[in-house]
Amino acid sequence: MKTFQSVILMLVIIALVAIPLRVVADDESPWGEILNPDGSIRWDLLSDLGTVSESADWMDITLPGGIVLDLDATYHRYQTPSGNILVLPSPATLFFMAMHPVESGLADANSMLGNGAAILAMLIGPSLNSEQLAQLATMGYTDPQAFFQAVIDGQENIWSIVNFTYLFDILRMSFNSGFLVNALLLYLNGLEDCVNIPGGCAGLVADCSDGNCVPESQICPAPSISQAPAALTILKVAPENPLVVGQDPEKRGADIQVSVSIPPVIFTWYKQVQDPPTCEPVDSGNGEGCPGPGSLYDNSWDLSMEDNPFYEVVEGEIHCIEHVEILPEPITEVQANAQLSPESRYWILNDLASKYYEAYIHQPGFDLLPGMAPINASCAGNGICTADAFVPNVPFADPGAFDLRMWVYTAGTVFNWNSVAIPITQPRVLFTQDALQVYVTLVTLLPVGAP
Amino acid sequence: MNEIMVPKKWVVAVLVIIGLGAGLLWGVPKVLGRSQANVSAPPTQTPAEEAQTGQDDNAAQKAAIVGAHAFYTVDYQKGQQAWLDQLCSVSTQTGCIVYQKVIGPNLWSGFEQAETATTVKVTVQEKVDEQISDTRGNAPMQVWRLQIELSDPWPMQNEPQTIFSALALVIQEQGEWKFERFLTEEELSVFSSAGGQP
Repeated sequence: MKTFQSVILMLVIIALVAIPLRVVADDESPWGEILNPDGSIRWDLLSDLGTVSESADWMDITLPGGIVLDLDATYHRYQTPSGNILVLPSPATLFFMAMHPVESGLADANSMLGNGAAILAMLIGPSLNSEQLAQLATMGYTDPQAFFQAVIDGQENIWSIVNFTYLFDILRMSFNSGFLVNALLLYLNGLEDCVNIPGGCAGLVADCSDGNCVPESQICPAPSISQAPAALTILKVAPENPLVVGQDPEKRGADIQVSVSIPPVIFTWYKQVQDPPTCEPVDSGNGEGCPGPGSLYDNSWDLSMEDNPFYEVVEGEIHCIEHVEILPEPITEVQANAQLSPESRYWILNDLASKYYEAYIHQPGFDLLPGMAPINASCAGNGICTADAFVPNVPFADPGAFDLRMWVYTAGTVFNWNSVAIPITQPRVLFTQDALQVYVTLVTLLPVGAP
Repeated sequence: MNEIMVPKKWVVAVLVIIGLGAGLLWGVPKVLGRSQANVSAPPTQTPAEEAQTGQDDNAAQKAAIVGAHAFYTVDYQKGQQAWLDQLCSVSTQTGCIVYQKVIGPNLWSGFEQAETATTVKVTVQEKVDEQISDTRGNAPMQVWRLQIELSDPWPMQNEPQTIFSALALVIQEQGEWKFERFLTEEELSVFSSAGGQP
């Protein structure tokens, strides 16, 4: 019975996710510029706006003693070629957004998952067991999604169905898994209404509605921008197995290499150009002649054509001349650090401390950049901007996994047109992370002669 | 051989009683929302089982006390890291991660700004619930009601108060009871009235 109910539940969830996918892959839908026909995401067409966090009063934890902690909502955002904004909330953010769809702005999204109830079903549904489903039935809900809708409507309490441990589990998931593609939220016309989208206006591509852009014509195509994804790496390069410096007579530590490569923004715009007029004969004799001077015309002209009804002025053709600008996106700052992972910290304080009395954490974090090495940043003639740094001999003193994280700040891009600096893309923050393992030698005593 | 005559009415009555009894045995837990699988303690225990339960309760109670003690003992001068290290040494792995990533950073700026240093006296009031966590490998978990007596109020409280009640969730992790987090009264009441899910 439990298996059967689980299968039914999975089918419901798969249907919730799959049916909208088919709809959104339609070319007529705004999702057409984001999704391939098979439902995969067209990352190459999206401008990565980076990660943004903001305080959210709809996302809180209550502690005894009248303490309410407002958590930060965290999103990774992308901009589509047409100016729509794609938002990927962290798992915890998505959970609270689903619980508070209006306050969080979820209700304003053209979400592929439809609504908050579907998102809660997706997040919580797989963890519901047969007893919980039976419990829902006793509460009058044969469809879990109906229960989740009642939660959103304020008629039921989410904690009546999720585990005591769910809140911390999903908070932990937000950090351990990065940004799982749990849900893609699409905000149409995100540029024009950026104040009201999750994450606000920071880092969005410039809004040209105020006229501070290259003029557009009704005949020529609209300007467009594209940019290949940036490449960011932060990794340990040596030695192969770093040893905690306390056990290493040479105090070798580990070497960290960071590198950044940001391709230029390709800004394509069209200038409307009209050929000079020509003076053409009119067989009917109904023309108005071609007034001088002859330099006005693109063909031959003489005085007899003036006021001559057998000639008339024909306007020149209109052409659209394509201009492709390669705009470098300069790197303004690089920050990097290494932090002992929470799991390793826990291991030292519990497992290791139980075997080695008073094992403690020596230095759980290192601010690598700026500070521990110079950063070389520049933009080449091909528009590619790079930055790199080599941080030698970082003295890791604690065993375990260190999270290596890097933030890259850019200046955005600017196009100088008619002596006016026009912002094309806004400054943004890019992020990447990796991990580094630091080893320790542990001594185990064995009884002599033991088999 | 003597033949015993049993009236049909009696047969029907016995069957009805059996049916009602079975229905009650099966149906009452459903009506209460607590299935047999969720009843954490059998109705009768052997002396050995009772002793084990007592040991578990003692260990769980201790985990709740040390968890609350670590959480509410703050010294801004020793820094966030010292507070987290102490808390992580008595908390579950998930709890430790969330305290490091979410709770600590949110609380600590307020402590530093207000130069907070508090000690705490933790008193156990009662065990209010026990369940099995099927998302943590069917680990036992218990909820204990504690009384917290802070030496000074915390700066981020809505209203300054030093004596208040707290519900501590503790979970057995690798055979050892650890502190996970504090529950709200609302969470507890909903869980308990729903039959202690999961």
